[in-house]
Amino acid sequence: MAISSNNITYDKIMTPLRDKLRTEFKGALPIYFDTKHQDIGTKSLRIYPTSQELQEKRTSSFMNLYNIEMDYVINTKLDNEKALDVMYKDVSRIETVLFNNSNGGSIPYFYAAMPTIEHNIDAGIQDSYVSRISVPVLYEEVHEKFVRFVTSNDKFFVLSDGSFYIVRS
Amino acid sequence: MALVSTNAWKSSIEETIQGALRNEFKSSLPVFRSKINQIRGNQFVVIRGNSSNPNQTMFAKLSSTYNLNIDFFMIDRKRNDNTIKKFFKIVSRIEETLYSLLEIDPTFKIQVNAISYEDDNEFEGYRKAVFEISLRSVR
Repeated sequence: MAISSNNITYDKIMTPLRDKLRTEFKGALPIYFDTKHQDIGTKSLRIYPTSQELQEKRTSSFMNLYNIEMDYVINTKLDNEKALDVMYKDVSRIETVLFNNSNGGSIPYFYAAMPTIEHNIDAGIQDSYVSRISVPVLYEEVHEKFVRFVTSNDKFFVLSDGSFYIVRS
Repeated sequence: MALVSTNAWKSSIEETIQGALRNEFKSSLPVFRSKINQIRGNQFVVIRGNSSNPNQTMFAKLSSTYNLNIDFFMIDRKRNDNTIKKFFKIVSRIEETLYSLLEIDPTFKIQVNAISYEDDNEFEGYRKAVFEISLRSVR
């Protein structure tokens, strides 16, 4: 018996975030999922979750905090102000998109807090400026629950093959 | 005469988790219990027991909270959207299986406290998700 499950991290956390940013930037900023940097243009945004932590466990649901890391990379051979200004402008725009979509929408989505931003981090990428944007996202998932069937005298209901009779809780 | 005791870590905890995951994934995801790392296929799970804490109780039963790691490995040479989607699909399925099925066996208060995602340092080309879980069992 396979349980029914959602692809929570991909479908509920990563994809809505990417789609909101893609809607804003159109093709001007390639956005992709990966743990490693991909050289796919003058500038790009890499999205990847680093971890998740349980916030609350209820009887039939669990709420997690997903820590999402986004690396904005702009390639520049010159150490100039122009590239720096483009980076600051794009990162501010990303921050505004996140603020404007902090909850609600077609998919329930909630940023636990506004993102933290580190500029000019060393991500090991040659000839580039990199900003790291960290976004905490909350999501609650209802899960299926199964129990053994218990008879009126507190015994488990055992089938002829020795397995237990299992029912949805 | 020797006391009658239950091998709680083996029977009540690790084999229970192993059984729940095997029932759900069948042969598509091999599940092992081990302390050491070794490649066991394109995707596999390793269960590692870490520690247990006693729960103070007035009942004449031994109640403990067990802390374990479940490491999920998946090879990803293509590194594209589809493989990332597949990786997280299995992660979510493991998480929901733990919450949904484990209470059928004599364990309770199961919690996936955290999951960290990384590229494995030891096995090149593998993605890795480390589940930190805790659960209680009484014997």
